[in-house]
Amino acid sequence: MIRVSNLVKSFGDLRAVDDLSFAVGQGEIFGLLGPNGAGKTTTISVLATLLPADAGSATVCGHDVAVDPAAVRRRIGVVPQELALYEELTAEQNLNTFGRLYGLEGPRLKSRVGELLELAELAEHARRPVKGFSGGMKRRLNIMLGLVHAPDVLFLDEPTVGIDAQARTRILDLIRSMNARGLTVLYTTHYLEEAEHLCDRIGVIDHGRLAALGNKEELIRQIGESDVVRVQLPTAALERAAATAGAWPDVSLAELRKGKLEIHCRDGAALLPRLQAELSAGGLGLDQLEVIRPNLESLYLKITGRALRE
Amino acid sequence: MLRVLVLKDIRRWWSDRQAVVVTLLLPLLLTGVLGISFGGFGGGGGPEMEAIPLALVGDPPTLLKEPLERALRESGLFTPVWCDSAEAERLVRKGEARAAVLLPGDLQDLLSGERVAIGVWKDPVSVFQADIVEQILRRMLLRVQGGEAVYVTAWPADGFPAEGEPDPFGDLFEGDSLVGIWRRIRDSSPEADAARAKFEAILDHQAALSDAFDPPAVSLQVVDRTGKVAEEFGPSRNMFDYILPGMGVFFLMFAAAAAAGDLHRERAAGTLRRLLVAPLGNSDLLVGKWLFAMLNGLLQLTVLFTAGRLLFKMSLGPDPLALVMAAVATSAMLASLFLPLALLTANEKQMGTISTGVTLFMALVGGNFINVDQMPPVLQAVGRFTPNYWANLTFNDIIVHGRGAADILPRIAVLFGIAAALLAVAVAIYRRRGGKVGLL
Repeated sequence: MIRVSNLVKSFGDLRAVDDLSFAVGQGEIFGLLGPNGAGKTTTISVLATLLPADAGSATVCGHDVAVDPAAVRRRIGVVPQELALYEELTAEQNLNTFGRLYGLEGPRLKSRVGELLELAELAEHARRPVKGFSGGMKRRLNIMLGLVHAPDVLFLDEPTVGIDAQARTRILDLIRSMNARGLTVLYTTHYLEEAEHLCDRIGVIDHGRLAALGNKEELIRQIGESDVVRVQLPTAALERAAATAGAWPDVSLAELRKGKLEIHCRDGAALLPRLQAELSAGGLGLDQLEVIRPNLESLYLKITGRALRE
Repeated sequence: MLRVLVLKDIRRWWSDRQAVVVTLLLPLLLTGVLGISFGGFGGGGGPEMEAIPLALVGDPPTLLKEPLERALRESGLFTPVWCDSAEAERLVRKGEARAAVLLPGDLQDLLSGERVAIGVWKDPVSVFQADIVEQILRRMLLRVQGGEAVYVTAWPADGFPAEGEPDPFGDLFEGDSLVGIWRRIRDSSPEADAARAKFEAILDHQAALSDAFDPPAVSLQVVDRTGKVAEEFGPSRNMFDYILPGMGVFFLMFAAAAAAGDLHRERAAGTLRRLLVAPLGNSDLLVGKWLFAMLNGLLQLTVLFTAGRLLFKMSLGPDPLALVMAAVATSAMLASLFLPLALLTANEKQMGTISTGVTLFMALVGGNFINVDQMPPVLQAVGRFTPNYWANLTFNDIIVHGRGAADILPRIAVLFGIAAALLAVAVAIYRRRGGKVGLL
């Protein structure tokens, strides 16, 4: 649905998007993860035909964004980072306005608006001016405005900025439910947990360049970061256990730390049955065991050398 | 698409109490204050302004003195008091007279077509009323001069028919011009041929002076010597006839600036970005804002004129079509006035600062507060280059001078011409900045 090839966009001396390439399949939720100023919004602006690219190409739903922007616009919905709402108008009037701009009229518009209000759990507030809404309600309506014309692809530019955890969960649920209906989503965020839990694949972007691409597991493998299996054993057995585990081919390191055995390996879960069998054979029981998996925070730190929220 | 965009802006405007207050209620409030100030509110005090205290100084020929004072009083506009120059100066300084008129001893020379100097002392805190004094007085003197000239030429002995004697020219003063009167004299009174040359000279002078007041700034009911009311200068005027159109245009400029500045508000709110990815035509956004500003202006003028008519009994001119044409053309012109500025400024604050300055300057030199003709020549020249000057002129033509749709067509063409030129400038800037992309 989306294909980006060697895209370049500069603002003066600043190269906001630098030779960026990626593709998003139909029905996929693709996350562009990166800190502020990484080039996420610029990428969406080019894909949404709001900015012309300096070099490279991009197609959305088979239409080149530079050659046929009007066709692209008809197939996409955009949810900007700001709360792009008419605060003086009611939720229903906001939806009606944008529905009409996309050619919806009469019963079709009414039905679609009603459906979206239900989906966003705003039906009871349909005729209230938006300025009286909570932050979460505004965010949900903000997303619905991008969906009013039933687009094939939705660009969501950091749609959960500035709202509480509960409201964020509702929005992520909303996006999942829309995706379940076949909507392709390009989602930019600098919240790790969102990208981790929502996106099928993630592109890590920094300084306009794609630093890593894949699903979460693939990304972690790309980085070479390992799981850590932390085991609590009787002190007398610790050293022997460390030597045994250290000899296993898929273990990169087995060390004692703060009275516990820490085993660094590619796949901690796969290691567990073997570890348990060895310990049982040696007449040892497990006092405590935990598998610590690497997360995207550590991944991103390793890639860019800076935290995502910077 | 344009319909949706305009409806959206109308709904937003209507839902925004502050915008409604600024657009409709504030002008009405100000108009109300003006109405109360001039005693015309509710029609209870009469639609016309309070009589202006006027000091008259001098000793004009009896022939002129009595009709002059009577005409001043019966106009309902003045309360004349004869006094010497010292007393007149004291009255003006104390504000007890808005102006003092110094009539020269050689006033009689007016009848021979000679120029004479008429002094007017104005109360500095009542410039507007003092200006009215000056203009009305001069107009009245011309009228008196004409009447005197006719009588002098027709009755060379003393200029008056005796008591009980039939007045052969009594009907000559009904709704006719001096030229018409002269032609009738010439046609019906061959004995007046001897006075023809002199009267022609008077008429020439009259015409020259009249040009300066044509159209007259303030019309007046003049009661002439025959005791009949001559409507030569039209019905008496309501202060609102002068004030309200100018104020309406002034407020319209603010409303137009606010409407154009909405581009900045939409950009800041992010809704502009959303609109730009909608399947709109290239210039739809710009034209949509222009249409909204025009309709908004039209509504504002409609409310102001309706209130002026109902509450203050102002005149709306003899031809409703002319007024509608002027209102539409003015709204269209002012709607496009600030679009180029909105495209050239970086944000709403910058736009607001510049547009306020531009509006106040244009209102000052374009005649919204002070008649352009009363300004120094340099400012007059500058004023004629302001769009609002042409709007003021058009409304003045209709409301004050009673002109109809056909008469004001050239002015309407000028207003639409300015509107088209400004829109063209806005579109050129829009395209130069990359169209939709440039709006972001």
